[in-house]
This record gives sequence, structure tokens and C-alpha cells, in this order.
Amino acid sequence: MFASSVMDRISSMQQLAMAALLMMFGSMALANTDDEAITWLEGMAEAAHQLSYIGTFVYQQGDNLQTMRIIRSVTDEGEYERLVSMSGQNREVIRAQDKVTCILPEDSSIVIEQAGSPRPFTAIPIEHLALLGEFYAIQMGGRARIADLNTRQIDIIPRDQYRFGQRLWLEENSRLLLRSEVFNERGEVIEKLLFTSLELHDHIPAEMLQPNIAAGDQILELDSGLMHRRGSSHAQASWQTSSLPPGFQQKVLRRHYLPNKFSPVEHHVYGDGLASVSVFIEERDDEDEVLIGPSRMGGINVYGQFSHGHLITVLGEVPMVTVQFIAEAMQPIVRP
Amino acid sequence: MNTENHDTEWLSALADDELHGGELQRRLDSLMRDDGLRRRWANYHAIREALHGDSQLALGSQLQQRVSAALSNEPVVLAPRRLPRNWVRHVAGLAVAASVTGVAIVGVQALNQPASLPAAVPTLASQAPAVQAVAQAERLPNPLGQQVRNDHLAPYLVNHNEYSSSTNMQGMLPYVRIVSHGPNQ
Repeated sequence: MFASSVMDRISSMQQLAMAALLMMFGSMALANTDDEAITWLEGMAEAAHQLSYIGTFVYQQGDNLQTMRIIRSVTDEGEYERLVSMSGQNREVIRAQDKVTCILPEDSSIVIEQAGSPRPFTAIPIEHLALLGEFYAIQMGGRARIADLNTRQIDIIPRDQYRFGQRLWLEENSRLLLRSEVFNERGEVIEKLLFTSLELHDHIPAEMLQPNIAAGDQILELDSGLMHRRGSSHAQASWQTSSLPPGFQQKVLRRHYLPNKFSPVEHHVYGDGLASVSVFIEERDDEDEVLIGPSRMGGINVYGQFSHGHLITVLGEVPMVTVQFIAEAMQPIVRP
Repeated sequence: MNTENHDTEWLSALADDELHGGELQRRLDSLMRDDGLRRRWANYHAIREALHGDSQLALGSQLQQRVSAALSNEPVVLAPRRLPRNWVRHVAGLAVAASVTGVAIVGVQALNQPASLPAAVPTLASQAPAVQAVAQAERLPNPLGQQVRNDHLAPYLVNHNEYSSSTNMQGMLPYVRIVSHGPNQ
């Protein structure tokens, strides 16, 4: 019922929205997707997983601007990555094999997540990038010099209001991403990222991938046996969507224990091939520390609501209308 | 000399801890009055840090303490619209280092240069369905959703990232939203 009311509003506004998009992007929104640009995007995805490097970049979101360093190492054993803040208090995320560790000192909290098996980093193929043309115009842009390296610009322009646009600048040889801008349904830039230095390395010393933990910090590592037993599993869905925004399909269904929670969440992922939206459904009867309604974290929009004794949290790098649409379309599956 | 160059000059002097007495007070006052100047000041330091890779240099410096103290005495001026405290954070972590002024300003300009695609059309855009649909919720003053502390959502976001196509395409970069200092942090 809620979903259909959103749908009606959207339908009635659709033509106006398309007119706005056409004016925003001119003839580009009508243009075809460029095969060369698709090849560059494939190169970017490959580079993101195959190269070892150390880079420094500036991340801007609203008035908030921060400097971060990324260290990435690929060895025979696997991929190791570390992303660390360089301004304010130390915050960092380390990804090693299937484990993700977040060190967030403001809360003295360290979140350690076992992503589960099979290792999902490449579990979603860059499916049929060429088919994205129905929902985005993807085109080659100009050349630019960034962090002393030559780049080519790729423009990803959405054809409707359910997805964000992006401008990406990829290094000409490695195709690593050196600069990006995400823009919303009104054409406003909501997130920027710009590398100020990037060095490719054959070998990254192991100590550079160690967390920077102060003497007083507490590390809460979840018991690995428990983690293993609880883990996450592919499960029968208890929830489903009554409808989805155009182009979105279900990609993942899993049941997973979040750190420090005693009952599992049902996790669905929906995607259009480029943008992804996650739905987390957990049994909750209290409203302590839950986010209801719209909120956001940089380029991530979040929409939360209660339904049938469950908390439904939907988030993704998509416009608010998309996460709200999906949140309102979630329904429990009634089995006889 | 135009105003912008003039501002750059004294911002640089302030960053290098070269202003004193009445001049220092006057510059701090104008910094507190002017959003644009404050943003430039914060950007300026972020870029410096990016170039130097060391945010420890100025921790505990007299400048940092004076600027922070001056700002904390001005709550009204410091709460203009959104995220004012982030600026204080930038100052708290700033790296005061001389000799990179030229490069730092070039960096800031590169980041702030106008987008190459045309900007939004305000009249039509203001009627975009997304805005209306969300405004209908009427739960939060900001129709696009309130920026929230990211730690609360970190476990969700980690699980989202691990299964999202953005991570597949861009590696670890989507984790900037967790590493980033959110509002009130």
C-alpha cells in the first residue's frame, strides 16, 4: 500500500523528472553508451583487485573534507587492504581475506566482520556492463592530469531518478580510479574523491597493513569458533518485495549474524548492475538506537521503518526515493 | 591585489603561526564571520596534510589551541547551518607546515573546479519526485535525510559493501564512508 502510493507519486512526476534530467544533461541522456567507456570500466574493476599500491586522497562530502591513505597489497595468499584517516582521530578499516576490521576510536569500538564464504569480494560479476545502457548513458570524457598521472574521464549519466550519476577519472595505463564525483538526482555533486599521490608497488611491507592501535584501545575480537558456527548462510527468504524500481533485481539473499547481536538479520541485495541496495531485516520490538525514516552517510542514503515486528533498514548509493521505495515494498512471506 | 589573493596571504600567515596581537584577533574574527573563508581554511589544511602525510605536526601547537579556544567562545557564529563542528575538527588535526602554500592552493582549486556537465536547473529540479516523496515523510527537517553518525551503521555498511557492485568496481574506496569522520565526531 505504501509502495503503491510512492509509485503513484513517482508515475505522476515521471515526465517532469525526465524533462528535468534532459535539461540537466542535455543531449547526453539520450546518447548511446559507448563501448570504449565500458571497456574502461572493466579495466577499472580489474585494476581495483589486481594491483598493489599506496595512495593518498582527499574525500569531500558536503562541507566535510578529509584526507585518507589507502594501502593495498595483493600476494599469493590474497588481497590485503587498509584505509586510514589522516586527519582528526585515527579511524581505519582493514580488509584481509574474508575479514573486515573497523577501528573507530570515538566509540572505543572495533567492529570485526567475517564476510562469509565463499569470499564475496568478486562474488557479484560485473554483469553485462553493456546492458547498463538501458539505465545509464556511459561515455568517454576528456583527459586530465591528476597526481602527476594522465587520466581519462568516464561519464555515467542516469536515465531516470532512481540512480546517481558519476564522473570517474581513470589512470591511462593501470586504469586505477584517481578521481570521482557522485551527483544526485538534481545534478548536485554530493561526494568527491581526489588522489593527491599514487605509487604502484610490487611488494608492500606487511607492517604497513597493521592497524594503528593506541596502547589504551581495547580490541574486541569475536570468538572465531562462535563466528564460524554462527557465520552466515544462504537461507530461505522470510521477506520479499512487492515491486522494485525499474532495472533492479535481487542479487543476494543471506542470513547473517551482525557483531554483538544475538539473532540473525536477513540481508537482501538488489542491484541494477552498477548501483546496489541492501535490505537488512531483523526482529526488533524496541526502538532504542534505531534510525527510522530517511538519513544518510555521505553518498549512502538510508531509510528505516518498522513492519510486522521487524526493523527494516534499507541503504545504498542511490537516491532517497529508491531506498524508500524498496523499504515500503518489503513484505513478509506468508507460508501455509 | 584582489581580495582572494589577499585572503590567501593572511590565511597562510595564520597557518604558519606568524600573526600576533591585534592582527591575529582581527583575522580570527573575520574567519569566524565568513563561512567561505572557514571552508578555505579547512580545505587548505586538508590539502597540506595530503601533501605532507603527517597530521601530527601541529598537535598541541599554540595555534591550534588558540584557534580552537577562539571558536569555542563563539557558539552563535559557529552554528550557521550544517556541520560546523567539522571545521573545528579540521583545525584540531591540522598540520602546520610552511613552504607548500603554492601547491596547496592549486590542489584546492583542482578539487573545487566547476563540474564539466551543466549544473542543475533549479526550478524544475526543485520539483523532482525524490524530494517530494521524501518530504512527505515529514520526519526530519532536512528533506534529503539527516546526515548521521556513521559508527551506528558501520556493521550494516560493511555487509553492504562486501556484497555491493561498487566494491567490486572500486575496491575498498566505498569504505571512505566509514573511515570518514561524520558529524559531531
